Amino acid sequence: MPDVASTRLKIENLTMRFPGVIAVNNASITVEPGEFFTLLGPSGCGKTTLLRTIAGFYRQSDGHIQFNDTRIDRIPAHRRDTGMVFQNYAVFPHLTVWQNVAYGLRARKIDKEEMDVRVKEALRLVDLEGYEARRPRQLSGGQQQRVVVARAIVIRPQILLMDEPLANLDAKLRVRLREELKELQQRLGITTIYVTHDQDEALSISDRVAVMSHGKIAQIGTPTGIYRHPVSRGVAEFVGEGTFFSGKVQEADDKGVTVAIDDGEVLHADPPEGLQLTEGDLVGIGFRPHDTRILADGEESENVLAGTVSQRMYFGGLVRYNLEMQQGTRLQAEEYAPSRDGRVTKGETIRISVPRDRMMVFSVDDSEKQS
Amino acid sequence: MTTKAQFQSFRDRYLDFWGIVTILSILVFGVLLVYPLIRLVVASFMTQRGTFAGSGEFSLIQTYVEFFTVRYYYQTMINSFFVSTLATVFAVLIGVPVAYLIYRIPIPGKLLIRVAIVLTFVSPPFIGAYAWVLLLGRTGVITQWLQVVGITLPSIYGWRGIVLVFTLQAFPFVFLLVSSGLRSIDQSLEDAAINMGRSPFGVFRTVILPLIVPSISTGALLVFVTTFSDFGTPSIIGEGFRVLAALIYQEFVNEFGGNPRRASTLAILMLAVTITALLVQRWFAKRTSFDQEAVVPLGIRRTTRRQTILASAFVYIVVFAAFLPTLTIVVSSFLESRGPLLIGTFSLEGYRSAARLPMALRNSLVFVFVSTLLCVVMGTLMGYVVARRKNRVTGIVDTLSMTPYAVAGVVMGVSLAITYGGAPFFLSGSSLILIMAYFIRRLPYSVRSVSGLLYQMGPDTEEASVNLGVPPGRTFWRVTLPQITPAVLSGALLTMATIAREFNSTVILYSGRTRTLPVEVFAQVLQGNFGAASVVGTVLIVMTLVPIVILFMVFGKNEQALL
Repeated sequence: MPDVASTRLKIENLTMRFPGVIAVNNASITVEPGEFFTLLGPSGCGKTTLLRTIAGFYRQSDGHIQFNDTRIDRIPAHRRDTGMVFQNYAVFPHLTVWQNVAYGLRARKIDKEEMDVRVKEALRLVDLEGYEARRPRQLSGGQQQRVVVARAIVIRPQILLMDEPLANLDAKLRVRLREELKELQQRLGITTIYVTHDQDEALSISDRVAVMSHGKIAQIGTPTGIYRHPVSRGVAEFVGEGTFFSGKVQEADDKGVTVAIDDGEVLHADPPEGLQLTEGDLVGIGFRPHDTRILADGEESENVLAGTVSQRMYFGGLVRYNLEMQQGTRLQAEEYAPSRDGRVTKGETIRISVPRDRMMVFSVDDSEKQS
Repeated sequence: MTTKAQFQSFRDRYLDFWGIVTILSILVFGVLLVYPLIRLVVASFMTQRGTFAGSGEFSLIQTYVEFFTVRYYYQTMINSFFVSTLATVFAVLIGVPVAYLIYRIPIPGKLLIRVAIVLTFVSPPFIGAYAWVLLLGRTGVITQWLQVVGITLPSIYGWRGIVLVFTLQAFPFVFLLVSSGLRSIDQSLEDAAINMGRSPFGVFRTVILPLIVPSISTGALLVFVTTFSDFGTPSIIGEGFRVLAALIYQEFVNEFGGNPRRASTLAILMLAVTITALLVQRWFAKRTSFDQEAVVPLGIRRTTRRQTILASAFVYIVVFAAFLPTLTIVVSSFLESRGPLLIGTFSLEGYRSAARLPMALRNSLVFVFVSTLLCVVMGTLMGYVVARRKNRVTGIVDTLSMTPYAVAGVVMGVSLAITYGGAPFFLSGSSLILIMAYFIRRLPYSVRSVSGLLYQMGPDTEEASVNLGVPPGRTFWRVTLPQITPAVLSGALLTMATIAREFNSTVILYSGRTRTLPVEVFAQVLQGNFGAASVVGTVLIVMTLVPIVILFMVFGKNEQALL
């Protein structure tokens, strides 16, 4: 399939109000041509609304949407030229696989010969050759989803929109299909907006991710960026697990920050990106369980915390420990490639250490300040 | 903005095809339902000369006062309540166990049983009454046999007969609703109850029964409302036991010139009762329903031979009794007759000599086809705007489409006759007014079935189509319509069967030229020509049965489709 001319998507100050609720609140995003961009957030955060507004199913209350240099605010859904993949497939049950894929081409009055070529090509890309004459009800969920993907890409849309396309599939198939989707997207170079609530999916598949919460965009960044440098505890907790404290900045300079956390310990971290801190600022600080290391007796290290093992869970590749610090704060630590059952047993008191470059520091959310 | 530009922007926003459909919907319901009902209310306050009643004897509410003070009138209300309540109780007492036993116990010949119940359900309403007269009436077949043996049964005439016929005719409502209610109960609930130590009957009483209470109450409501407003059965078998529906008919179609004011008053009182019943049931069902869904539905229970035999006997007796009238009509149509007496020799003479049969059949066919077509087309379009073009106006259409059970056939008939029968329309007795009545009686079902289906389907495929570049208008034809067509067609078949047996509104509105099959059966029965009645009745049964058979065979539906 020839390269699709890639489109830059620009969303400016977009707000979408429904009676009694602001589903999307002043969102601004620029998606570069050919980029795989994911909207990540819990259900009800406004990500699907934003996607449907881009597709033209809703008309925004405020703000603008631009494809390249053209404002498309007033263009109705059927002339927006976006290809959408729906969570519930939305495969036309009364049409064959071939007719489903050709549906959008017919609307574009593509001639018969070219249509044949393009449908065939699209079906080849999603690995559904030989299924042309089948009816949707004769297909598995995964196959139906491939039909819908083929149907969306065959029209060579300016932007590909995917609304939790893998949510209805079982876990193994989900992982396989998301690899295929990524590969397909890279091959076609088509600008893609992907909506999901699954952070693994978002991190593994995207060029960049926008984390949404309560209708607002909390953070936009690369997967590494949002995972390693979350701007708030909300983002930090949504994209991965971890232990978080609130504390007060004791010292801050270009070499790092020192934070006194509530139960008296002091933690050190590298200076956080894009966050200017001065002494006395209230911040959040934390780390992911896989960044911890259990210290041997007498071993010294930075950022040492001690706790009693209250729970021990074996996952095969790792052992997860829940620790309780003296003041009652809970910690999560992990041990990798454990031999046998792991080094530590329940009830033991251990010390862990976290490298300072793995510490996450973020300003306190507005909501946290209030509470 | 100039007025012209304003109009143009208004037109662009609202007056697309669906805007026109919305306006048309409001017009249809307004002209055929709301306005006639308003006229009915007004008529109940007007004197014979068409002016508003004044004071004294001609006071505004004179006919209402009369109704509640004159025994001749209020007794009919008491009678109607009496027979309908009894019929409802009995229908529940029969319908619930039959549904449960058929669902849970390996009774042989289930298909046969279900076919028989469906036949009973679709057979014209008063046919049961007249069949039971043939069997248990003064000269009835069974009565005569028993007389030979020296047994005299209590009289079938009067309230006992009415209750018998109502119960057997209407228990399928309870049966169908309870069967569908049972489908939504998960096997795990029963397993849990048994696990906690309940006996089979204990499980039924403590778990299953409470969960099907909403279904039972809906079934009971339908039994109550249909029997309360039925006019045919009490007229044939009541013999002096007068019910409200019959009184409305008498007051309206009187040999000495009807009394529209009194008929209107009675119709409004009937409307009040049916609406109240509907509201009470809705309130009750809301309080008792649990919105459950079964992952693994209740299975067949393992039973002893004795239990199976007992259960089968009970079910077969009930179903046989319910089916007997249909059988009687068909068999007797092939017997020679002399007035009310049927002679036991086979003959096709009845069919050959049925003078008014061709006209009645032709009328029925024309009315059924025309009104079904109207229902399907309008119902589909209106169902679509209700489900997909939500706004305040389509909300009203949605509400209006919930009225069918509340407005009984007699009430509909009287209100249409009052509104369009006389000047300036003069539609009295015309084909048009009958088609109007059938259309508006059945339209709400079509609207609701389509809107329900669209809700269930979700807008995904339509959005996919729009997303792929097909404008909303064409998306309806290419994506929506193909998906709902099977359901629309099966709804159409059901509409045909229902309209073919429609009697309570017809009897108010028809004239000599426009008599339908049910009216003809009724007329023959009243004249004592039982043979001719059976002949026409058999034709009518076939006519209602054909669409149902197609529905089941071609569309693979089962009796649940009848709801």
